[in-house]
Amino acid sequence: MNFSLLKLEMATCGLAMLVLMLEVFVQRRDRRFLGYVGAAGLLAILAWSYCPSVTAGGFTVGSGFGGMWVNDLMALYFKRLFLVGTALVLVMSVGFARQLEGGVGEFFALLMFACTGMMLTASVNDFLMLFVALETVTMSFYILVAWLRRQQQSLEAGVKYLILGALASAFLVYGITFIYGTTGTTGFAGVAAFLKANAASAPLKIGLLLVLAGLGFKIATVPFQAWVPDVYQGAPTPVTAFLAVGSKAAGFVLLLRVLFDALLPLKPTWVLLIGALAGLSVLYGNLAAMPQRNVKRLLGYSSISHAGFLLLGVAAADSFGVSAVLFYLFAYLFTNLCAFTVISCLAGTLADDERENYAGLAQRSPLLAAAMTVALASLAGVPPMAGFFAKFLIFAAIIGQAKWCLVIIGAIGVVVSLYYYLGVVKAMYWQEPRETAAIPVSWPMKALLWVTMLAVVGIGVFQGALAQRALEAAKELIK
Amino acid sequence: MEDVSGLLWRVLAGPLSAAVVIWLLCHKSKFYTDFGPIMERQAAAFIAIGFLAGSSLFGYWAFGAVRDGAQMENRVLYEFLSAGDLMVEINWSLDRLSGLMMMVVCGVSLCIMVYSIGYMHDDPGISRFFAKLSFFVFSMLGIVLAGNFLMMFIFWELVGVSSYLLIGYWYERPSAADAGKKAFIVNRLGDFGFLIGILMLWGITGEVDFVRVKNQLAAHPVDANLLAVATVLIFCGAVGKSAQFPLHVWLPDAMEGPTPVSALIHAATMVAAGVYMLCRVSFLVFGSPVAMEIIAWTGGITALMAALIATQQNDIKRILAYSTLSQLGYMVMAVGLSNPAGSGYMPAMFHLSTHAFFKALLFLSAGSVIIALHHSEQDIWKMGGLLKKMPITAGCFAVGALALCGFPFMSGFYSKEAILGLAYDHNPRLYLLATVTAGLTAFYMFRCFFVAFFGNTRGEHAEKAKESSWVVLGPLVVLAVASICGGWFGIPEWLVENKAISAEHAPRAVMIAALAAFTIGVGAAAFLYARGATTDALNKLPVLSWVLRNKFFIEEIYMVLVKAGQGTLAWLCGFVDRWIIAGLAVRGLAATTRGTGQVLRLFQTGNVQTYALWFAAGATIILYCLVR
Amino acid sequence: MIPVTLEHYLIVSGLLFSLGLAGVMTRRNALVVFMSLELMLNASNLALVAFSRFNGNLHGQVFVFFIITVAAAEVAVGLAIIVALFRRRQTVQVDEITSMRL
Repeated sequence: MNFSLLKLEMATCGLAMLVLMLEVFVQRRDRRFLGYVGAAGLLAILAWSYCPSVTAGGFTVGSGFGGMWVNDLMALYFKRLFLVGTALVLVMSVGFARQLEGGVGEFFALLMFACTGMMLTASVNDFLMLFVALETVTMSFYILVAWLRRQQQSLEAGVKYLILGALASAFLVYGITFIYGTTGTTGFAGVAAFLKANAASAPLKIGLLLVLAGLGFKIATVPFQAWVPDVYQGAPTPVTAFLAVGSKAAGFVLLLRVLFDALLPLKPTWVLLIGALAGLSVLYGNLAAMPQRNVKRLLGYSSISHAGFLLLGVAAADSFGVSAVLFYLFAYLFTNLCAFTVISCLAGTLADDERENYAGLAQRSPLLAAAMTVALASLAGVPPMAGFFAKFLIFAAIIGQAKWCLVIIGAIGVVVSLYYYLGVVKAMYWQEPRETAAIPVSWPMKALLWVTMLAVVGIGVFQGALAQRALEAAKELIK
Repeated sequence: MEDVSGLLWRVLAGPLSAAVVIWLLCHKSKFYTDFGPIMERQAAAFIAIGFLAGSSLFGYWAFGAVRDGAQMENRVLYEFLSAGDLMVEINWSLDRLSGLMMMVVCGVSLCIMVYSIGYMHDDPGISRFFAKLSFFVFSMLGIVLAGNFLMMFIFWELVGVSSYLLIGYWYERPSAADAGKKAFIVNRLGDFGFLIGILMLWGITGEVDFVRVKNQLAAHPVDANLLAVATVLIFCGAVGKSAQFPLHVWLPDAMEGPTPVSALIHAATMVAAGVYMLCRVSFLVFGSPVAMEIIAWTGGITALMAALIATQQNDIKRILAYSTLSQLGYMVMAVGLSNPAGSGYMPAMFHLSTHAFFKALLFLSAGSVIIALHHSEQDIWKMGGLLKKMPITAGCFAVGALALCGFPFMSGFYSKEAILGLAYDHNPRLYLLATVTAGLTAFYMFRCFFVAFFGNTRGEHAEKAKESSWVVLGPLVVLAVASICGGWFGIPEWLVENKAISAEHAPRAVMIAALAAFTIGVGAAAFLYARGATTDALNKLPVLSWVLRNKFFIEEIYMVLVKAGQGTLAWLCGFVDRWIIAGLAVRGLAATTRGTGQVLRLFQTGNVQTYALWFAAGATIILYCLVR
Repeated sequence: MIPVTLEHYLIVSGLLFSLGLAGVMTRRNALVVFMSLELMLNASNLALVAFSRFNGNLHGQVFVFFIITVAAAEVAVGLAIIVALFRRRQTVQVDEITSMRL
């Protein structure tokens, strides 16, 4: 039992508890500043993760807990992604704190508990571990989604997320049961060894499919996507952002681990399956987004389509494809946070998130309009934004595998997506505003907007370093 | 070996930071009011010159390293884009060719910036001017030092943009704004060909890096016709930027910009970029004789045509502009005629360097005259008698004219002789054409000189003209010295290390013919104009003068073509757009996708139990496909 | 007496799972839907214990403890949300909470 393997997770969990306790000692009106404490702490942990003792020397890199746990470059890559994402979401929540009623400290703590769970998912190497890590994330999100308990939409989103999430968990657990029943083990390595020695029987296939369904719920792929638009629309905006960047990334790291560690012998089968799901998600997400007028809901549909693009990279099933997925998730993190920061800045001013309310935003707040444009351009994959290079890598990966059908579907998706993203940009710049009052933006939100915007453009222009890291991490997954 | 790549960054950073600093600080000149009135007006100039001087020092350092044998080709500084087979890096190419060009650009730019302090003295937007000028120098150095096609193209476009900004510097004048637009659009035409050429080359070799393309072509020979097409397309870029026939129309109009701009951009550096580019890709050009033939004839025709037109121009800057066209034609022709096994691109680059000095000198002298005439007169027939009023300017103009016409032992003499010798060896028809052009050159330059500086003063501004200040004259003298001595620095030896080839001289017959052409040209000019003529004697030849004065009606032909072509094309496009694209494709497709979207949306009923049903049904369908 | 084999346990477990799933899709009361979800988890518990017995190792039984714990937490959170919903809307009928759709 080498607990130092868990030190990043334990630090994060401890930080969450510290914030929870500090809340008692801080006056009510100052409690929102605890978010900065949390963000600073997470960034400190991020810095710690670069210490040689964490990254090299065999101290914590390696596997432990009877093979349930693996700390490799990919785990580290994802842990850093979660830390960065959570820190930014915390800052966003501070700006959003006026809309959150009471218990702000608990809100922050729950974000960090969810982050702990996500960091656990990055190192999963056993189905039992997978279940526990995933439930840590999901359980925190049940509460976070339903946080605004005086708003009907938030509650409705909470109930929908609860029921469908629990359903997905039930599928997942039942799947794990069958896997355990046929292979006699829950470890990824054991399952892989079993599959190498024996042909996959029907109960095993059922089990694997049910597990994939449970993960498909997390990453929001067709046909497990139905919750996404409703929950995205109803949840508090920082939580929606966290769902989009954190929960999805957690789902993807689990998917990659399961597919490449446990199910590698079944690769020909799941490549077809993942490819089909990817194509369907790209088409469904983009087509259904076209008539959409609510911007938050629009981003929900767009999230489905991005799950599809990410799955395209998984379907390429080589180290280049996986590295494209890893790169895409980081680009997507900053892009989405940029967009949702704009939405949460507007939450206090606009009546709701309908596109009509965004008309003439450029006249009311040039910064918000510019940030939204950068984010949407990146989501649409316009150079030189981060999203462009991410899509470029994904397409390069599937072209490399000569999956022309998927290439065509992806291209259709990109073209269609341009249409509805530009619709929002058009409203912001070329339509007359209903009101002309300037929209105030607090300085932490301004800082967040600048950081995310610069990151989106910066990653787009200087992609070399990140792409290199992603490739190293991916090569460790696919030996 | 020294690490020169760091130096090159600094060379480029200088002008760019100058542009940024000026843009940031001088935007509202409150910052400078504390430093007194001189600083307030001239701060931008000092910043620009200071940074450029720093850059030039670093440039000279790198130049020295090249002289000592440092070859820094293809050092990768940063991977700009890398995916699969395509690799685009930021890398520099520093060799003897780019080293020479870098020094020419830095030297001429420095002289011209100093001169601009005097020339732009009373202009209210002086800081804007220097910011744009610095930005131009940055882009130009970028072209010179670029190590691959993509980078060269990016800087190529930046040069186009900054040239557009500078031509339209006096944007309140409609003619200047139009000229800027015209330059930009005509350049884009050439750039389009350039881009397609680059893409073709990339398709053929899979590389965009100069050295790797070269190696690839050497290792795997490709179809000669394909290569010729790619080369000609790339040459299109040079046709646009170096204003060759038939895209030459923008350059004379570009004289609407301030005179230092005309000197720097439209005489010494930017228009030479096309020729430089051809030399940079000489491995490509030399590989296809067909392309070389096309290049040589394009250059030759431009040279002769521009020289003919120049004989009937009256605006002093336009005369110089057509003379620039003609000389650029010479250089392009030289590239087309080069002997890959012998001197290579040396004659073209040699003429480019000497031309940069004496043409900048001529423009700046003309600018000095324009200053003396209070920026209100450019017609040589309204000048006259300026020799006595401004002797130094007149002397410098004379030096420039002599160098341009190839007076013995001045810089132009050597470089022109190299080109004529090349033509004599390879293509007798082009040789004849070049010699006639040389005679015409002498004729129109001295026509301009005699009319503007000799005889009696013929205008009220010319009466009151007096010599310009030292800020203006200093750069003139420096450039005059360079124009005289440019041929002695050993530029041929620098470019061609083989002493036997670089020391070669043209046959005696060529020299005698060139001198005869010079004498006839100057003599004719002296006979017609030196004795105080007040009107152009050539007006007695109505048809010829009419045709030349209207520049062979090329612009008018373009206008008719563009109008007729545009009309037809517009009608056709309108038809296709309205009925086929909008009607069938877009509306039909858009309606289909929208309709599909609307239908797909119906899955989102809002009822959580329906969602559970989709979830279970989806899982079941997949399960069926999987276990079946 | 028929000997009780693995198949018997699995059939019961499958029935439980199907019943739960049917309940989730058809019952209108959120509390009953939630109970059905718990039923689905219990189907897994039963199968896990049976598999553990017949595989001859204890992994399955350990897993059951985790599932029970997680289910308990899920119930705590879930009931709180459903109660909050009842306070706001005075109803727990899931087919009445469809304000967000399309």
